[in-house]
Amino acid sequence: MMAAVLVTVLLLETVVFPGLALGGWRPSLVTLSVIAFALADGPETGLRYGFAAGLTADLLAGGDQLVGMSALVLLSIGYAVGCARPYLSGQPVGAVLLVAAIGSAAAVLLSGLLSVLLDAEAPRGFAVIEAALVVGLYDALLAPLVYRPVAALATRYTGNPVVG
Amino acid sequence: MLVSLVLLTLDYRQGETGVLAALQRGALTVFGPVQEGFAAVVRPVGGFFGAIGDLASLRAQNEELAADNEELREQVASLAELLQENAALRAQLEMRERLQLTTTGARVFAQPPGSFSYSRLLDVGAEQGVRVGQAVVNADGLVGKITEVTANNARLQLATTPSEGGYAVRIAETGEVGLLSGRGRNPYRFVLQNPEAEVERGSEVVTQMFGGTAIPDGIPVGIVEDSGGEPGRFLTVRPYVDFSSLDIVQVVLNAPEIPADLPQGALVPLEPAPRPDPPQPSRRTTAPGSAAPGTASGSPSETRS
Repeated sequence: MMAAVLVTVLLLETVVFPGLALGGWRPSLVTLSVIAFALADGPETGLRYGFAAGLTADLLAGGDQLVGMSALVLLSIGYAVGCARPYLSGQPVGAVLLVAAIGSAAAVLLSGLLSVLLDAEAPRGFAVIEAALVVGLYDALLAPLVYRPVAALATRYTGNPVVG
Repeated sequence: MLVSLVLLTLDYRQGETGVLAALQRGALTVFGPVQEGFAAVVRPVGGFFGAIGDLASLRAQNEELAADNEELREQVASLAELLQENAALRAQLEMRERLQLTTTGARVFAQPPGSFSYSRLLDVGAEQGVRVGQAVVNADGLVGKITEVTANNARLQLATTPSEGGYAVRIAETGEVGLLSGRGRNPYRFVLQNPEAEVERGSEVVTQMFGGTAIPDGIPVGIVEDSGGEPGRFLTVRPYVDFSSLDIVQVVLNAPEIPADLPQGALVPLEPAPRPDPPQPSRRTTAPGSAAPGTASGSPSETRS
């Protein structure tokens, strides 16, 4: 089930959303799906799914990124969001949006930072900050659309109660 | 009965000119207009009853026409997109003929995930003659080059990829050569080989052929925007190509012909190469076909792997 979601998200992000870029930046649906799974299911799932999603994204990115970079970033985000889950139960949907925005922005910043550290075709600092802001916002806008189906699927398959 | 027999015989014997024939004509003259009048009155009524029979077929015809109309409307809507595609392809064909390139059209169909991806996936591959190292252009100028090839797809690395190495280019007006590197969303950075050279704003920058490249000479790249602080240090070059709206591009299949006496790796201005023969349609995936001089040798400008 998670694989199906991952494939769908990747297809959407690579084929459909380049045409829907805001100011030249695409939303990061893969990150959103990681956050959604982490919120729905907890830190372990967030970690595992984040790793798998990041690894697949890295493999698809070709020479642009070192393989493993997105895996590291997304598993951290997945774990962090999953850990924040108990604090969010009972909060309204706004909390989900906030988490999505912060999570996505953090993912972009981490990716940029790692690129600089590992000296792999690093984008310039200003671009990273701009990307983090725009992608964070765009992801927050799309968060409800991604979160609802993912949460529904998660409850159906694991039976855990979900946030929001 | 006897009378009718008599009349029959009489008519038969008299034919066209006899009395009975005249009587017949008289009857026609009298009765004809009456019949006509009656027919004129009766015709609409007859038509009405006839139409009821036609009603079912008329309804079917109406539906068919409505469906046709709908289909034509849809076609008109996609017509605008076709016109746009047509215009783009025409412009690319013009560029290709002007520079005498052999190219194959390719569509950009995907972009890798991640926020900082500077590559695009194309729907042509080794089967269509694409090889690693080939240049990719569109009607505006240089888009990038091919870095990975599978049987039916290829990865196009954009010229704006942030990196230290890049493309060998020259100023079109003066011939000053140098190295152009991408800066992501920012304009290109152009480092001249001769730091003392004078460069004017608005000069055009085109690709420079050198030994060991598969990128043809003279492809427009961009326009010099800023001469930098000290003369000729770092120039910024604004690309001609709009990288955020790439749809159809051309992959240049023929490598420029390098004169035999040119040392490998030399970076010198050359006369434009004579037009090479078009490559044979090749199904080999191992040896690079028409880009033979392209990827094998190392070159001073291609420092990025």
